[in-house]
Amino acid sequence: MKIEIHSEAISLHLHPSEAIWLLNTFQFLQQSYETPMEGLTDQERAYWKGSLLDPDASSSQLKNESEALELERLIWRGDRLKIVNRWLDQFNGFKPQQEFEFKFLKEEADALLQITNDRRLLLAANHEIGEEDMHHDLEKLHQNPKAGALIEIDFLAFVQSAVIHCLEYEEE
Amino acid sequence: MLGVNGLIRLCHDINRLSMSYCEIRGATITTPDLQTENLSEFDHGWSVVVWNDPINLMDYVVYVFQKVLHMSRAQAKKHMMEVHQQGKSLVAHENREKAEHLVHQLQSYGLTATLQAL
Repeated sequence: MKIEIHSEAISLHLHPSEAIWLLNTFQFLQQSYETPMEGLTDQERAYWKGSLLDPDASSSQLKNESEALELERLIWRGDRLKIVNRWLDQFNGFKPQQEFEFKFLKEEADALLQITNDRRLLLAANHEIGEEDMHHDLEKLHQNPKAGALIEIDFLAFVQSAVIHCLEYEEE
Repeated sequence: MLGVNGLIRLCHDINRLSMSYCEIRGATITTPDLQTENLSEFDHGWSVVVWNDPINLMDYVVYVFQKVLHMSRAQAKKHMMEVHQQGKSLVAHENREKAEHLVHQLQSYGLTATLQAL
């Protein structure tokens, strides 16, 4: 992957396999954001519910504020769906064997970080990926039943790092 | 001198401002020094805590701290390392409304952030 900064946008020049991963990420999120809460897995529901207070705090504390957070988190899903739909339009006509340029506005950089992070965290929740899994041995990865999830988590981390460094470079 | 209705209205207004107490003694009214004692107590009575998780990248956490909490890069790194090594970091002390807002913003980036009463 190469990253290119334009005056108002940032381009990710992706190898065919990287483009497929990114397409897969956006397609998963499109479906996830569209699915009503009751249709999600328990792990995804817990992720979207979030928590305002520490696990030790009484559940009766700040009940209204906790409900407000839940509502806001639901609004994020709708907002992010619109962005993902727009990004998916770029993949119209995408051919799996070709390199691909994914372009987003600089003002959407934070949305890209948040959206790719949703996917990383949802993958981790659905596959019960913990600290130990994140220090996986690349040579033994093919034996790991969580391999697909771990590769996507790593790939999206690579995208996030590249975007963050790009933004920092811009600031300097 | 305030009449009884005036005192009631004043107490009501003070309560609305989350003041802790309002004592009425005869025709005089005693309140704490609203500008200092109470406001300072309520102003920073809540902490924002960020918890460690195995998924979020260190660079990402530093970026979010700078963006949301307006920390310098050095401060953001220090708090990120605290999260990483000690499991959590208190990243802000604010009044409840502001602290709640910061928790929302941090969570919008996928960080595990919670509100804690001091």
